[in-house]
Amino acid sequence: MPKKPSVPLKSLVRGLVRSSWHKQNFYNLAKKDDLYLAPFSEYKQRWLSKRESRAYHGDHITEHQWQGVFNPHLKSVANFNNDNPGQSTAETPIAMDLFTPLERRLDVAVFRAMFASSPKQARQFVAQGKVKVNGRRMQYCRYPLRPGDVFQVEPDCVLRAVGREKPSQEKSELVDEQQRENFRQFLAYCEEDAEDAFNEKFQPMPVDGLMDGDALYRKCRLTAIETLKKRIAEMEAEDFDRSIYEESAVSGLLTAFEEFKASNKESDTSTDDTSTAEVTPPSHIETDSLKEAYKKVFSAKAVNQDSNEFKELVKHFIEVEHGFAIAESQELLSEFLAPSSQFTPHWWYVYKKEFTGLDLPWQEGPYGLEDPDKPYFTPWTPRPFLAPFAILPHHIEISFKSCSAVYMRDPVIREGHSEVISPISLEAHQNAYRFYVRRRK
Amino acid sequence: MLLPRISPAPAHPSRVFFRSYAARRFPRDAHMAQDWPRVENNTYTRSNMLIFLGEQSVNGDHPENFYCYAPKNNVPKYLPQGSGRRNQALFRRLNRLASDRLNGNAFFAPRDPDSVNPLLHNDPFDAVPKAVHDEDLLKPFPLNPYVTTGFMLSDMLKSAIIKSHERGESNIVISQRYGIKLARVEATIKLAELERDMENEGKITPDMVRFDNRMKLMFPLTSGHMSQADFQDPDEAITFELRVASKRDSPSDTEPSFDRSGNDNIYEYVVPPKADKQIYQFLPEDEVITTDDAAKILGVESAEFYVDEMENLSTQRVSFAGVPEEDLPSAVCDWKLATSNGVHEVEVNTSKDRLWVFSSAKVGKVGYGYGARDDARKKYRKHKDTRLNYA
Repeated sequence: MPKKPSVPLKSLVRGLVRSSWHKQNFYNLAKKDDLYLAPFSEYKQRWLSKRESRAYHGDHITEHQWQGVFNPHLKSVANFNNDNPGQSTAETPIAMDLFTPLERRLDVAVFRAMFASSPKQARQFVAQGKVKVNGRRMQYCRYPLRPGDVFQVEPDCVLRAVGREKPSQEKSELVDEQQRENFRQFLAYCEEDAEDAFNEKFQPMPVDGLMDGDALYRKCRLTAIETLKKRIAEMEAEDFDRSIYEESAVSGLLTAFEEFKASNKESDTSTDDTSTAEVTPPSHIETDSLKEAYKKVFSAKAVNQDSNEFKELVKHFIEVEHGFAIAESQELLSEFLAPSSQFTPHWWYVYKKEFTGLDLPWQEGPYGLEDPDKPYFTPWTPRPFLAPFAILPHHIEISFKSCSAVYMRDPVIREGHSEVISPISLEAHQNAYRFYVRRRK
Repeated sequence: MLLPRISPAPAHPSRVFFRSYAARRFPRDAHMAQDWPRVENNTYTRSNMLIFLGEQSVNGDHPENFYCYAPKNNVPKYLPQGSGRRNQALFRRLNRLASDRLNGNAFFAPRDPDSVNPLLHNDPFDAVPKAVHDEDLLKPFPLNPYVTTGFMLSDMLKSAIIKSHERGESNIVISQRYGIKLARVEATIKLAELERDMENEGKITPDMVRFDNRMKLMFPLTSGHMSQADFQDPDEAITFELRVASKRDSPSDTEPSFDRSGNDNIYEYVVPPKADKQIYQFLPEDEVITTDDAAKILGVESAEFYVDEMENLSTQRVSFAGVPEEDLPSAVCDWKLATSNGVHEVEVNTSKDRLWVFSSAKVGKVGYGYGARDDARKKYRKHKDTRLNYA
């Protein structure tokens, strides 16, 4: 069982930079300044530098373990094809070879290959038997890798370490509630001022950078067009169930009757004439039998809903309503089929649930829990503040697809370049080297 | 009587060491915001950090922060180079954002945080200098200019390497042609085979593919020394040519080019550990050197030793002290037997002679039946094998 650290690792007061992708560690890195060593004794200068550099390099192993692998003979590489021999272009930071022996360790290599968020987590993976070296399970985190070794980490572990944290059920619901509210407000804005909203487009809550608003709009349009086409084809079929229009047809007829009677009454009182006004059927009633039925119904004192004439009229009104619905859909479809850069008043209808089939069209399930069985955020998304730590090592070739990597060689130091990845300055490395070489065995 | 001080008293050394922290703090009014960050529940240092990270959204992100989301254009997002005061421009900008929020001004919230990349754009307010060289964008740590990120091999180059390998070309030839180090060529081929095996076994899940695609967008890409001639497909060749030409003709400000830094130096020589020692020693012609002298120089045993070893290896003398002759295994009796002082000594040829030979047998027909069925401890045995109870 690893020893529990005696100090808070990411302490803001200490401000030491650790090998971790935590955002607090990123802040410590960003505010870091050069070491201010001038007023101190030589020993303290070395000690402070050692403290800084060991905080990053192998803070998970003890000082005793580190001194067991410390090599006082630092090396660098030679360039065989030097175009201007004798003229060195840059300094060779040879002191940065100090921590090369640690880079050979399996846990550090797993961290460098970006399969774990810190060497500590990598050590956990190794101890749990999630790491294979050359096809065999390796449970010793200090296993020294040799050139050509292939190591492989369990994909679920990698996706969990590099990906976003999986939200709890409550958290997911909370975020979705907020998103729904934002979306609702946007749709209300569209209803109010469709043109301005069209120019802005909807921007969902960022998860992996900003989403392209136009892309989301285009995606929704495609879904909406497909849905509409399907619906129109269904409506135009003979066996389409038209009973859904019955209620509105009946109520429409009744209101028309009441309006007609009311207008008749007004004219009665003004002219004081008992004769009823002439009943004129609307233009869509063309056949004589329907016209007569209309006249008969509207000239009666009250509506008799059981009468044959009324039923005949309702049947006709259902057809009319059906025709209207088809025409409406076709009109909307023609709007959607226009170029996506062109503004149309009903452009935002594509976001509606009846077309997209989704509550929130940019995600196909609850926030982060599209596949709740997985131990990571689904769909997989990189964790926040990964950017400043996404560094590709020169000495390890990585295949992210198979979560495996090849340790090609030990990292080397060359002119003006160090393959050992370290945020610590060269000066601090030199002082730290002096600290350790003092007590050479 | 106190004398007036001429110069201010020097700060206590332990305080001076944290000078960096003192220089990077935000002004007091930035901490006095009503809603955010909640100073009353935080320490001063923590409140500083919250201002730096920016406001949190419901999902716990800091979307205003330039570094919150990983890049998608193969241009890394690292802290600006240069230590100390040069780097403070970043903090000045955040400071301005914080005070704007405090004063209730129209908060300059960029819809696209990339537009405030301190390295790519000149900030109209703070006049942050643009990165001098594009190569500076590859350096992740402000205090260590010697560290750079590696380059990812582009998919085109990878497939070209694998095609060349399948055609039967040697790795050295491939390495020379594309300007990629030999070890990297070998590793690429090895990983491609691994990926193919996993795909055939159905072990690659859609999430892994998604992970792969997304991670590839974070690092700079290199195509090595690829040229149009490397493409079999004419369409592919044309697009490659167009891409190269367009990059050359119109170098854009927002898209930095890392053409020079992406190439490996294949002429670099890493000294293998064995070659670290001198293996030749120059001697005057008249000096006589024997095998013993050579062994001493090389730090190994003399040649005679190895000759003896090899002879001794095949035959060994084994003594059966305290074993009566009738109890000796029959195989031993067949070998050459010498008896001195009642001790039997046998010369065994280790490459040929076997004391025990396995032969098939049936349970119950051979061996000794022990007492208890489940317990084979010595005290429960019915039959005591006295042959092994030697003095």
